[in-house]
Amino acid sequence: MKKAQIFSLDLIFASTIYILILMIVIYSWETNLENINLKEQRGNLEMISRNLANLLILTEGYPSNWSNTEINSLGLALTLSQNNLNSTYKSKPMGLNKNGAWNLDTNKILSLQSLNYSYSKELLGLLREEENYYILISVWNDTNYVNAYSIGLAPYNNASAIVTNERFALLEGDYAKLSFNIWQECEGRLCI
Amino acid sequence: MHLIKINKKAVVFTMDAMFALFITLSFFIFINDSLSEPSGSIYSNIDLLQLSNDGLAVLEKSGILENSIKNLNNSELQIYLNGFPEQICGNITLYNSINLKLLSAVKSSCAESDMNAISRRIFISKSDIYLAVMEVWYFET
Repeated sequence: MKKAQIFSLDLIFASTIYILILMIVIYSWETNLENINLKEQRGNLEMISRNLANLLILTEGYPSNWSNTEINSLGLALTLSQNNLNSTYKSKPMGLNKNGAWNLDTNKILSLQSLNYSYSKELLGLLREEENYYILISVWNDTNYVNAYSIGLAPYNNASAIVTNERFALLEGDYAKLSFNIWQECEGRLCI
Repeated sequence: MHLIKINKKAVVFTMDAMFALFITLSFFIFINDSLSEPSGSIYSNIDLLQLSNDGLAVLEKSGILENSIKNLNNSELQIYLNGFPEQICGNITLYNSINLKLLSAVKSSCAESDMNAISRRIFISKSDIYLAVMEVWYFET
C-alpha cells in the first residue's frame, strides 16, 4: 500500500510562492501607507503656512498697535485704525490706502522678533511641540532681495519636513519678500 | 503489446493558475506604481495665484502702476518682474477702460506657457480707470 504524501514538493513550492507574495504585499502596504501619511502631513503644513503668511501680511493684529505685553492676535500690516488702539474703527477703506494689507510695519516685525518664541508659536496656533516656524523678510535693493529680518527658529539639519510659503509685500515703501517656513523636528525613522 | 505508461501526477500550477497569478501581480504592480509616484504639491496653482495677487497689490500700493501709465513706460514693471524667484515667470499687461492694451512687460528669458495663473486688478490714475492683468507660471527649460 502506498502512503499518501502530505508535504509534497508541489505544496512546498506553492507555499513558498504564497509567502513570498504575502511578504511583498505587506512591505508595499507599509511603504505606501507611510508615503500617503507623509504627503498628507506635508499638505497640512502647506495649508497652515499659507494661512499664517496671509495672517501676517494682510492683517494688523489685535489690538492694532499690539506690543509684547498686550497682544491677542498677530499681524504685521500697518495699522489703519483711527485711534491707534481699536482696529474696529477704520478711517479709510484698506484697498485705497497706503497702509494696511501688504504694507509691513517695521515696529511690528521688531516686536515679533523680540517676542518669546513659545508664546509667538502659541499665538500663531502652532500648538504641536514638534512644529516650528521661521520667518525671513528680505528687502529689494534694486538688484535682488537681501535678508533684513529673521524671526523664529531656523530649521535643524535633520528636520523631517520644511514647507516654505513666499509672499510679496512692501516694507517702508520698498519691495519686500516674506518667506514663511514651517518645519517639523524629525521623528522616529525619519531622523538621520 | 506495449502499454504506454501514463504519468498520473496532478499538475498543481495549471495554465489557469498561472494566468490568475499574472493578472493579480500586474494589478498589484500597477497600483503600487501609481501610489508611489512622486506628485507635486496640490497647492502649486494656488501658490501662483497668490503670487500674482501679491504682485498686483504691491505694484498698485507702491504707485508703480499709476506711474507706468502716466509715463507710458514699462521699465519699473520689468524691474519688479525680474525680481521674481528663479523658477517663476510672469508678465503684466495694462489696459484702459475700453480694453485697449497700453503697456506690457515680461520677465526676461521666460517663454510663454499654458499652465499659468491670472490675476486682475483695477486701479485709478488721473481719475481714469485702468485694468492690470498679471500672468504667472513656472519656468520651463
